[in-house]
Amino acid sequence: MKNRETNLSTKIIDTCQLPKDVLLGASIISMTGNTDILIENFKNIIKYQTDVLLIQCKRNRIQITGKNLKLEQYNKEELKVCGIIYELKFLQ
Amino acid sequence: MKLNNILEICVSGENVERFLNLCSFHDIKLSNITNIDNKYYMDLSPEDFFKLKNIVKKSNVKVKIIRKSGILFWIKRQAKRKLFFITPFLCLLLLWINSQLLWGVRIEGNHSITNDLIQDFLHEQGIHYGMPLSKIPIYELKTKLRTKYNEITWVSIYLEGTNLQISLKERDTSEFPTASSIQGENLIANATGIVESVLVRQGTALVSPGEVVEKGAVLIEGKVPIPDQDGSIKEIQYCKADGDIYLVYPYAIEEIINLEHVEKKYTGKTYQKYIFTWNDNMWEFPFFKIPFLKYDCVTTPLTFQFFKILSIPLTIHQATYQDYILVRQKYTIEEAEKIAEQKLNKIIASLEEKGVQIIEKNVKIKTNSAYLSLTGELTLKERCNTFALLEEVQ
Repeated sequence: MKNRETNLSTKIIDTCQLPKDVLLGASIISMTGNTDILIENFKNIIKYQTDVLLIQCKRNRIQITGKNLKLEQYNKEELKVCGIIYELKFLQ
Repeated sequence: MKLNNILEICVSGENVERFLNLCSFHDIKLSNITNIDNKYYMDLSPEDFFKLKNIVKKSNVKVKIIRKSGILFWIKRQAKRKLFFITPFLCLLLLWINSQLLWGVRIEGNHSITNDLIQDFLHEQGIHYGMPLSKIPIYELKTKLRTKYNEITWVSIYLEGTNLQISLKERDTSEFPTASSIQGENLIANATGIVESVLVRQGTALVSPGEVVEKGAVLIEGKVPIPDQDGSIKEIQYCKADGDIYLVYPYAIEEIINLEHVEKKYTGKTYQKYIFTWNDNMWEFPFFKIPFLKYDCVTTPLTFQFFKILSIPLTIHQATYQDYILVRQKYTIEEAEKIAEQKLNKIIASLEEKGVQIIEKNVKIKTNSAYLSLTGELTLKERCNTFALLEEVQ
């Protein structure tokens, strides 16, 4: 039922060409090389260690694995992660 | 030292992630969060630090301040040092004291009375650098300066900041009779030569065109005899001889240019020093000896002025020493001829600058393996303009 609703809203948004991050709460991820990641539209941090960072977003979870991970900026709006990034994974 | 105030804290405990999320929820901006041995280090502003109390309770973590940086903390640390607060006041006090003292003398409008003479006069009057401005007797100085130098027709002395400004106007001395015009002054020959033309405006001519005269011979005498009715001399009037007498005379030229010569070859090594001068005292920095055997020194003055008004007699010169070695070189004939030509042109230019006309030019260049010689003679025509007092000539 929920999937149907989601599919319908996605279709409407696609047709009307509306921003998905505002209406669906989709995360915006900007990555610079394998050293910087900027994440917007997230809820909170679930786990933070130097080699793994688990972030809860509205629709899914993001898992970043790497080395010497450091949170350069952390506030309501954005989360900036620095370090050597090996992997970026979306978990349901 | 950073300008913005930052606190570095260390957070430890079970629920540090919760602590981070609560901070984010309460709009507390965290930066540079790192995890070292399960201890979380992060930066935040001092204002945000005071909002942490409830968050710490909720998340059950321990917070410890590691480092405080920023101008606010720096001032708090310096507050213990009394000198830190005294120094700005001390600087202001020194500046105020300096502004009450004389640090410069500017002289303008003088021609015959040199700056050195005026400086000597000021020294005699007890005016010196560093004296209080209030002790300068400006009105007295004006009167004494005018009394000492009759040539001064107008003088203005005033203080401009920490400078003593002296503006003056001098009398045009040619308008007034001088000692020479009362005693009489003769026009004498500049060089040994033939008199080409004679035109007398004042005085008595003693030579005629075509006559050969020696250097220093009197051409126009600075006295005019006034005859009486019976032909005898009634009186003699003395004056400054005036007239146009042109002399034609030869001018020998001899220049020898050795083809073999020694030239400076710069090695490209330089050494810099700063030379500080305060009035007549001089100091060099660094104090080490110049590490070159032979060198040229180029100095560039850097005038040191705090403000334009508060000028201090401190000058800094930047001296650059350029190392060179002497190398034996040999000119080619063409090069030597070019140098000889330049030397001749220089001689001609200097003669023409003096107002001498060159009537004839007869110069020859001879060369051999060792040197190049430039020999010859110029025929010059010059207006005599040398004067001597009547007594001196007699």
